[in-house]
Amino acid sequence: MLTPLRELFRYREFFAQIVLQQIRTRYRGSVLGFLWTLLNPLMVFLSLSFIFSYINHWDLKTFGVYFFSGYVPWTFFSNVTLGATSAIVGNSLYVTRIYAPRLIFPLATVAVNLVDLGAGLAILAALVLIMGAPVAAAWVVVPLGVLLLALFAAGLGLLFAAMGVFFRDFQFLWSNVAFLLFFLCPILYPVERLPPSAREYMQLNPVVPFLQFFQEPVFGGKMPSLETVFYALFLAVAAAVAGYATFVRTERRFYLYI
Amino acid sequence: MQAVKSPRAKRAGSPSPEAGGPSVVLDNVGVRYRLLTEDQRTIKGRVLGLLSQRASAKADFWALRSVSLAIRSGDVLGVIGPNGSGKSTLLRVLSSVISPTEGRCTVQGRLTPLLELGGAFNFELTGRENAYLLGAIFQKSRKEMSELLPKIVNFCELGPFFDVPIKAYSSGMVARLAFAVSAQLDPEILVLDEVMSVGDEHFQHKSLMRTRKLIEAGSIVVIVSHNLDLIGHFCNRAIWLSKGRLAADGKPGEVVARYRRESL
Repeated sequence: MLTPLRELFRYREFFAQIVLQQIRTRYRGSVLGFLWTLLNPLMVFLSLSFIFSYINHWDLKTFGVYFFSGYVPWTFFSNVTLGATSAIVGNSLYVTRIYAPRLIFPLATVAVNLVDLGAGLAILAALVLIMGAPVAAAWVVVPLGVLLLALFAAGLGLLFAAMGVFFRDFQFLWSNVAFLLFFLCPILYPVERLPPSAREYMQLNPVVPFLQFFQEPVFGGKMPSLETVFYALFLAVAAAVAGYATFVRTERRFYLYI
Repeated sequence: MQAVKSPRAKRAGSPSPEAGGPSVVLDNVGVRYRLLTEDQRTIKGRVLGLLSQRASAKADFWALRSVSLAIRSGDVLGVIGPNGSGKSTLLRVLSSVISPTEGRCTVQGRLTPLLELGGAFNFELTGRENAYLLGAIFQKSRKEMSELLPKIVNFCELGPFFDVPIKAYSSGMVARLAFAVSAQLDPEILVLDEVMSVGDEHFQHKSLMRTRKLIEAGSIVVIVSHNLDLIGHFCNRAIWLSKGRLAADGKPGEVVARYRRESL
């Protein structure tokens, strides 16, 4: 069961090349280069801030920081899981013609998006400073949030990569579910605005504990509760184990469906 | 179905554990493909299929069946057969790209699969970048590749094109790059799929010379080609695949002659 992981280690050079290649082909030929990574979250921030502060009269300083502290990790989660659905099919060239651990492809999606997540967090930090919002010591929990979120997204990503091979329309299904899930997460609205009965259901959303690793310290200035930490840890490990096991058990049959 | 063992585990250690050099052993190997309709590949199709109670016929197709073959150090194996006879599937099994549906394939030695010319290449990248990419696939570090690079540049004779994205290359140039890189990786098992038929005369000669050197060093070479004269002259053993089964295995002259007589 662990052999594929050892293989992955031996192929680390190839893994690194695939990641670099994806980053490079994404930004090649653009003078702004890496700045494109920053542009999308900025545009989203500006447009949504406009809507909510101008039309809804919410305070930009608080709402902007609140929104962004949830939107950045959400974007990572959504891009990883969505990208993973086509990670194997999209790399069919490699999957059908050379021998390399197939784990590389969905995991490369995770790695590439980690770069974007890093950029997003940098913007978030800059926003907090510009807006003059308080910087709390609780920020130190963010790296742990990144780690757990990455593990969770990677686990689901492995599962979805396999699903994407066996069902060609899985990616369309998931993109719609993800869209729905976005509105079920307290990103555009604070959880306090919900009636207490709805707040309980919010805990059923498995993405929420991960978002709290970012929202609580950045917006609330406090650590996520111990309960949240353990819940997130449990979800991340469960997703990683389930995703890995499914992927490793089914990868031998991928070639039949590609 | 027999127990299937992944060949990967056997390839884990780079140097061959036995003193006998590289070897490939296929034991009663069969590969089954499943011909799926669009409905069988989508969730929508599956669900609708359940609702309408339509029986979904599964069409199975054995690309290889009951193939037993032992290839030893020093073998230069030519693989011949008409289109669709299972040649490429055989190469995929040899290079661990697919695991056999039944039987087992045990590979010992470093394998350099050159499946379908430059199959691993990214056409957006330059020749140089692709050389590093191919090196990485064969677990060479960047440093090791940098040391090999002058030899590769020299061998492929691409000149200034080496630093141009390979989408600008002709198919012959891609083949030259693919061969130059693969041959420099000192493979113990070199798999060549129609590689020889693309380059010009000069390069063909050069690559045959390079391949000879590898053979002298004890490597296994497997060549798939429709060029029967090449198989006849260059190989010391040939197999003929017909509809996924081994129709003949022996001296290249005899196998080629029989193939010509019986199937052309």
